[in-house]
Parts: sequence; C-alpha cells; structure tokens
Amino acid sequence: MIPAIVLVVVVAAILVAGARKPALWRLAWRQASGRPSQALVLVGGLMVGSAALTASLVAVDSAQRLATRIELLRWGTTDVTVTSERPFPIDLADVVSADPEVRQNTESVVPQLQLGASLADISTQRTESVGTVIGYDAAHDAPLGDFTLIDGTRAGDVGPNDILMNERAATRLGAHAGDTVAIVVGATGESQSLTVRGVARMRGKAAWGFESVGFVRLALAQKLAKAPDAVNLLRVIAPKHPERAVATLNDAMAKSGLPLRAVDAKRQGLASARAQTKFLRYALIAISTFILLAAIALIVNLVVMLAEERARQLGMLRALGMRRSSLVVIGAMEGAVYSVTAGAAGAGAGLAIGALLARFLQNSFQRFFLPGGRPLPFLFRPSLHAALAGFTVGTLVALFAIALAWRRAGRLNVTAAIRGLAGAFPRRRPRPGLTTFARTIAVMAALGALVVPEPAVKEAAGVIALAVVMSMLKNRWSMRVRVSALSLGIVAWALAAAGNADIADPRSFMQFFVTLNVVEVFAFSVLVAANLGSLERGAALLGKRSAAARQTLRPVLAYLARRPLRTGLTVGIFGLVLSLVTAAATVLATDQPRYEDDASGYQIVATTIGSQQADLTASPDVEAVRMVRFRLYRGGVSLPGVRAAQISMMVYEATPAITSLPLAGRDPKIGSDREAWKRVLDGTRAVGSLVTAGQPLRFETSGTRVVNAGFLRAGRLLYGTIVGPDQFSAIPGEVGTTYLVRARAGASAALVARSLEKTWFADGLDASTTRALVDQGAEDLRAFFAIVQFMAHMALAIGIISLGIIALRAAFERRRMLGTLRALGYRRRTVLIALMIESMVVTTAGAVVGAGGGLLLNRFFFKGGFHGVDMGLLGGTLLLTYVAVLLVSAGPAIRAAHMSPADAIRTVD
Amino acid sequence: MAEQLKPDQSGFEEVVRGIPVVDARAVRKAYETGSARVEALRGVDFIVARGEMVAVIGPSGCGKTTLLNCLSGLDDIDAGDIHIDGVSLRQMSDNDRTDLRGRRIGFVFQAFNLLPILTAEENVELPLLIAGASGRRARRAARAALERVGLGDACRRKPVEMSGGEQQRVAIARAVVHAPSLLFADEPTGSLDSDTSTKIIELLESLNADGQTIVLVTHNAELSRRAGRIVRMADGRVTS
Repeated sequence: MIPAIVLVVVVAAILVAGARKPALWRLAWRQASGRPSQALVLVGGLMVGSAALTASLVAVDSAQRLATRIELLRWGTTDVTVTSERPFPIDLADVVSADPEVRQNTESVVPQLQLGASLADISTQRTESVGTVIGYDAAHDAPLGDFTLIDGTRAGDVGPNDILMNERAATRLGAHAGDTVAIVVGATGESQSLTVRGVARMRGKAAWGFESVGFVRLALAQKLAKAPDAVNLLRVIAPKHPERAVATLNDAMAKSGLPLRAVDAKRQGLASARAQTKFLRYALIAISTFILLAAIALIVNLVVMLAEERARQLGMLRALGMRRSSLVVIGAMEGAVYSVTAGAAGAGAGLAIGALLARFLQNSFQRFFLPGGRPLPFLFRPSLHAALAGFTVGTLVALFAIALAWRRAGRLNVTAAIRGLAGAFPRRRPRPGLTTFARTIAVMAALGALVVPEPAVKEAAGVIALAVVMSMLKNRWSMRVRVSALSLGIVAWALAAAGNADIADPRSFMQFFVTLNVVEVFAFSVLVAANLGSLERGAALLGKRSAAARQTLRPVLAYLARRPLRTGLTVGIFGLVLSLVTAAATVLATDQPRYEDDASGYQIVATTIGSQQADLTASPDVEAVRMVRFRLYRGGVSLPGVRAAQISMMVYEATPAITSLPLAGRDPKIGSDREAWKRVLDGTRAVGSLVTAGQPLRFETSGTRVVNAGFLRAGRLLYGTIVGPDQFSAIPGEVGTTYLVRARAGASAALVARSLEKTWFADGLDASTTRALVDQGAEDLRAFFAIVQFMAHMALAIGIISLGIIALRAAFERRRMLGTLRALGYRRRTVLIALMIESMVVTTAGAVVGAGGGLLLNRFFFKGGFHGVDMGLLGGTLLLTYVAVLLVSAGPAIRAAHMSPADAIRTVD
Repeated sequence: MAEQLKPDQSGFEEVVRGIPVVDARAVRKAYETGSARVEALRGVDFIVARGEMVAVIGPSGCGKTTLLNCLSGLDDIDAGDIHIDGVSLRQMSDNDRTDLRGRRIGFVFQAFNLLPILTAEENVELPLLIAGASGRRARRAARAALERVGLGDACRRKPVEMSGGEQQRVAIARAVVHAPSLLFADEPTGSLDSDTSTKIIELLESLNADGQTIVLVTHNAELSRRAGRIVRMADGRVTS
C-alpha cells in the first residue's frame, strides 16, 4: 500500500511539474519518443524486474491456494481429531459425543480405529510396508459421507472380508478392484487376506493424511488389533467453532477419565500449509530481488550513458538558462515515461509468467502429495494485488534509480559539455565539514548496527565501517589502492559472515543470502573497475610481442579503463545474474543424485512394520544388513515457524549400528560427526531432515523436544528424524524396522530387492534400491528447480539486453574515434574484432565476478552442505551468455566496422 | 549601488542604460589538466558598451573562448570580477547566474548546438519557455525571430533537415529571441562555407545595427573587420 501511495505521489508530482513547465515535459517526451527502437529496448530491460516480481507473487499466491486446497482435500469434513496410541472403549466415545456441551459445538463425532500395517497385493506381488488400515463403522461414519470411487460410483460400507483402498495405496500396490491384499498389523502381527472392493479418490475421509490407507470394517480392525469394542481415533465435524469444539471435547474427555486431547487439526493444517509456502515465497522474492538489483544496475548504466551522450545538449540547456535541478527533473520525467510503461508491461508479462510458474508448482505438489493420483486442480491466481505490487515496486525502483542517476547530470560542467570535452561530469567535491559529519554518523551507525542480531544488517554495518576506514586513508593511499583494499575487505567480511551464518527463519535466511551475494558482487565489480588499467597495461605488454594484438586490444581496453563506472556497472549486472545462476546451480547440485554419498555403501533399503524382524542375511545375495528400529509417529509436530502441524513421520532409534553414518550440514557448534552422534545417543540432539541444523523440533503428543545436529548424508535412506533411545521410547507410534542392505559384489540390487520382497512377502516387507530412492528424491524436487532455473534465465535476459544496449550505444558514441582509427589505417576486421573483444572482456569479468565469487561464497555459506555446482546449469548458462553476447554485440560491431571513416569523423550530434 | 541590483527588479532598464554591459576587471582563470596548470586568463580587463559589436581575436589557445565563457557566467573565475549590466557575477549563486543567462544573455556557438529532438521553432522558443514565458508568447516570439533571420518557412523542420547555414541562423534566432542585453558568439562562422559565412556576418551586423550588443570570438578576418572594435588576445592577456 505504501509503495502505491509513494508512486501516486511521485507520478502526480512529475505531472504537476510537467504542467507548470511544459518545456521540460516536451524535452523529456521527445527524448523518450525520439528513438522508438532504443526506447523499446530500454523498456524491455526495465520491465524484467516488474515481471519477475509479479510472476513470483502470483506463483506464491497460487501455491498457497493449492496448498490450502490440498489441506482441505486431506481433511475433508473432519475439523478436529482425537488420537490415542492405546485404543479406548467405543462406548466412551459415545459418552463424550453425547455430552451436551460437545453436542452443542459439534455436528458429529465419528469413532475409528487406525492401525499401522503393511499391505501386500497378492495379485501384483507389490507391498507397502508402512501403510495404514482404518477400521470404520458405516453407521457412525455416515456424517463423513460416502467414499467416491475412481470409477465414479460411491461406496459406504464394505463387506466383512473387503478392503477399500485409497488412490495412494492402490498406486503403490498397483491394486485394482477384485485383487487380494494381505494386511499385517504392526502392533499385533495379526494378518488377514482381503478382497479389494474398490479404489477411493483422495479426498475427504479417504485422503486421510495423504497416506496409503486401506479401509476395513471396524469389527475386523478391532479383531486384528486385538482390541474388541475399542477405537483410537475420533474424527469430529465442527466447521463453525472448531476451537470451542476442542475445548468442550477436552472437558468431556477429562470428565470421562480419558487421558486424551483434542486437536484443531484442520485449522492447524491450514496454518502449517501457509507457513510451509513461506520458504517458497521468500525464495522467489529473493530471486526477484536479484533481478531487480540487476535491473537497477542496468538503469543506472543506461542513464549514465545517455547523460554522457547528451552532455552537449544538456550543456546547451544550461547555457540557455536552465537550472541544474531542471535537468534532473527532465531526467525524472523521461524516466517516468520509461518506468511506468515498463512497470505496466512487466506486470502484464509477470501474470503470464506467473501462470507458467504456477503450473511448475502444481506439478511439484502433485508429485509430492498425490503421486500417480488424479491431477490436482490448476489454481492459477492472477491477483490484482500481485500485479499492482509488481507494477508499483518495479516502476518505483526504476524511477528512483533513473532520478538518482540523473542527479549526476546536475553536476554538469557546462563549458566542457558544450565543447564535448572530457570532464563534463566532474566528481562531486567533498565538503570537509560534511565529510567529517558523514563519517561520524556512518561510524556510529555501523557500530550500532554491528550489535543488531539481524545478520543482513550486521553485514551492511561491516561494509560501512570498512568504507569509512578507507575514506580516512585518503591522503595516504592512492584511489586505486584504497578501492581495491576496500573491495577485498568487503569480500573477506562477506565470506566470514557466510561462514558463521546459522539462520533458521526463511525470511532472514533469504535476506542474508541476497545481501551477501549483492555485497560480494558489488565489491568484486568495484575491484575490477578500479583495476581496469592493469588490463590496458597487460595489452601494452602483449603488444611488445604482437603489434596486431596491441593495435586491436589497446583502444578498447583504454575505452573500458577510462569509464570505470560504466564498465563496473556492466560487470556488476552480469555478476549479479551469474551469482544468482551459481546459487541456483549450487542448490541444484545439493539435491542431485550422488549415489555413493546418498547411499553410504548400501544398495537396498527394506522396511517392515511390527516388532518382528526379518533375518535378511539369510538371503545368499546379501552381504551385510544394518537394522534400524523406527516408530511411525502420527501427531502434532512443532518447528520454527510451524506450530503443531499434524503429520506422520518416521522416527528412527539411534543405535551404534547407524552412528557411524556420515553427516552433512552439521551444526557448526558441533565439532565432528562423532560428537554429533554422541549427543544424539545421550538424548540432547537428533539427526533429521525436517528442520535445519541447530533448530528444535517438538513432538507434541509426547512433549519430546530435540535439537537437530545435522543431516544424514544418506538422508533418503532414513527419511525422518533419528533420536536417542530414551526419546525413541517416549515418542508414540507403531514400531517397524528399516534394513540397510549391502548386496554381494556382482549381484543386481534390483533383483536382490525383488527377491527379498518375495521371500518376506507375508511380512509385508517392501524393498527398494537406494538408486531408485535417490532418483525419486531428485525427481520430487525437479519441478521446483525448474522454477529456479526459469527465473535465473529470466535474470540472464537483463544481462544480455544490457550488454546489447551498451554495445549499441558504445559503438554509436565512439563513431568519431572509430572513424579516426579507420582513417589512420585500422581495417574493418580490426574494428570488428576489437569491439567483439570488448564485449567478451566485460562478459568474462562478469562471469568471474558472478560465478567465481558466487562459488566462493556458496562454499562458505552452505559449508558441509556444499556439493559443488550443477555444471549443466552453470556451464549451459555461461555458454548461452557468451553466445547471446556475441549475437547482440555483433550487430553494432559490424555497423561500426562498416562506417565510412569520413562520415564518422564529420558526425555532429 | 549597481552591484546590489537584480536583473528582475523594476526600473532595472533605466538604471543600467548608462552602465557598460560588460565590465570585467583583472579576471584570472586557470585550468587543472592532470598535473599541469594552465593559466588561461592572466588578469584580463574588458569593457563592452551598450550597442557595441566587439570581435575578440587571437591565436588558438590564447584564452578567447575562456574569456567568453567567464563573461557569460558559464565558467567561474579565480580572481577579479565581472559585471553584466552592473551586476557582479562573483556574488551570484549558480541559480542566479543561470537566471541571468536565461534573461540577459544569448549564445551562438560554432557547432550550432541545436537540440536535434526539437523543430527549429521549438529550439528558438526554448529560452523563453525556460524563463517561464507562456507557450503562446514564446511561439509568437520564436516565429518573429525566425522571420528575422529569414527562416520563417522553416519552423517545423528539425536541425537534421537543415543546412549548416540554416542551422546557424536558427541558433542566432534562438540567441536573440528573448531580447538579451548581450549576445555572445563563439566562432559563429567557423563551421560554414564562405557564402554562408557572409550571410551570417550580415545577419549579425543587422542585429547590431538594431542595437544588439555583440561580443564575438572569431578567426574570420571579414567578420572581425566588420566589428566595431577588435580586441586582440595573446597568452591569456588582452594585448590591444
């Protein structure tokens, strides 16, 4: 809202200024509209920022809507749940639901019996070892509605020997109506063969947590659980006042002596879904920030270039009596034309791109929540709010960048400008008193900010402090030495900050990551800009060996070296874009399959539910097995930013059998893997994938709290949380066993896995190769990374557009110089090669700053989680960059090379 | 007394009538070019009476253009003082000097320096619009100025569509459209062929004949011969 008000005020002020001084408006408008093709390219470059921001916001809105829809699908009409590890008499459920207060605040209380069980389809010979069987009674279940089967029919009750599979379970087992399925209940080891009555769609009561569920008659479930007349789950319908329902249910259960707690499951689920899309929101906004910053650098570069090109005109205007402030107003007016047009076009394009991103996200959610199930609805949400935000922020950023850059025009030296001499834009002369005052304020602000806990603020404070120190060395060191030292100091500070980063909050994490990248790119770009003279000297040295090389390189390198601001900005644009691509490539590499690391030497992972354990070493193809007990925890989990989300997850028991497995992304406070495992065993820490290292995790049902020590490098093999034996005993849930299997040399892992499943089919053992698990994990993330790659390439467009414009303008503004060189004997080919080399030099500097600096930073930032970069993305992007730069700079270079020397020398602006 | 006057005060014209348009005393100006310091003006005294046409001549690098830039307030001076219509430039702020240029001074440059994005008429009306005149008044004055330089039919043409001589005439129209006290011309015929130069010289002469004070810098012998007074410069000093 505030940016919109600011934009309205700024544009209104510009319009008023235009109305009061029509001459200024006329000049601004003529400049903007005088060269339509240039204006088009400018608007194209400026609109990318708005487009990226709008697309991100639209995509996140759509994702949030989709997550909400998924949560509603998952819970159906159930609003509140009551779960218990130990079954309780169904009569007590009737008593509770008959309580007048409960009746007043709920529509219905439905008792069910939920059991952890393995499911095995005899027909397809496929198993789901960690499945769920829910026993229900059709009479009690009526308020929850019928099941909707995938053939479109509806089903209420099932036969005494029937089972109704939900879509997920049916997909896992390849089950169809009429198949025979064997179930083994983990808690009792009881088994039963049943006929598949049908497959229910994943919605409402069939969706239950998006787990693999088979629904059977309550009596059968009670028999298998050895719990006659008992249930362990109440699904409560209370859409109007779920919080009152929770309170009255808890009172009623307390009165009945039931040690149970009601949970506002649906609302917590919805809150959790919103919280979990936060990371996506901040990730996309962070990417958009990179793009916006690259756009700002592009804008500043263009304005600097345009101002230099128009120096003579600006000087003439000053000579005719135009005040300095009016020059800036003209710039702001022209900027308003470009930025408002670009903002509107960008917001429109952003909506279209947002639809594409929403489609990527839909695929990602589908794969994660409903693999193989019915397609989720495409919930593209082209909100006016997102479009307005993209338009407003994009326009304001462009407008302010233009206005700020035009302030330089206010310092115009009139006579130098009119005569086309160097020094038309002299450097601002510092006022001694003001400098001391500014230094004092800056030092105080920096010192104050150093104690602020926000890492991004601390980083900025360090940069300011370094800058102040360097400014104090003005009279001792040369400008080049000071700037170089400052740049290197800033880089060192950024790397040190990255090395000590330990942030859980996604917002702070993203802010800090963006800040570090921007600071580092800025510092390296300044370093390059300050030392361009070295390149020129290098060319001179090279020239001692080859006159042709000197002839070709010297003029272009001299041109770059004498324009450090412009060259530095172009390097910075490429640097920013490529640091974003490098960050994307780093994250992509983190989740790339690394079979050796991710499998820790095991080829097969097998699982059974129940306390009985299979002796897999009996198989001749098995060389070694590590057994890890787990509990299937169902209940509330709280983690930073998410309170009491209702989930089901595997909790593994840490035993010496697994405490030699290597960790990744370890908490920096813990010195070694050995120490981390020691702490897990003594109960103070856990190893898991749900939260980042150093962050707490609380199991609400038991009140168990653990702090994460790091991730298992073979995280996909034991996906969940590994806790010490004491915590394991305290956390409720059905017990099962995971077997990490090493096959004998030469044996096919896939065949051994299949053989193990067949041998222990009756126990519901399911086995997968570690390669398949690792591939599956990478596949799950592919859709998300498609978004990151897409956005990274969108940012690349800015870099390429910027270099294209700069190549065009550079050839244009140097036509006299090039004409003179041609008159002096330069061949067309030499001019062409020289200009192409110039683009390549800038691109290469940007690539080194962005990709090299990004790699260095990411290595420090991601620490143990750094697994190199995805060379496909980074290498491909670099290749694409060079090809695109060659293409966009070829046109201007060819044009410049074919200019008539006489015409070029005669040219008058 | 005159130094306290501001150009926009009422009765200004009457007061300044008897005062030299330009009164420069002991003007010094140096440039820093890298590590070198160039003394462009070394104590120049220069007075121009109302209605005069003064040609400043001298070899390249003698300080002619620098003198013009300093007299017009485009450049600051290091020492001495310059009065335009009795008002000291040294005591003026940048904005005051800018306003003075906009109201009392006109410029003609060798390279014309017309704005390529504007038509001839728009170029000419620009000084008036900058000074805050209404669009209608500016347009009327611009057309009259163009008529005066013989380009009444070229109002809608852009500079790129005009010859060098035509562009210079537009530049002259722009320089005089706001009836300045003083017209500065820096090599006004420097980029023109001899026929066109002659026409421009005649135009400047006719302006001077109508009472326009003109200070011009030139290498053109014909133009300097036609000026009422010639000031010679060498090595940053006025020699005669």
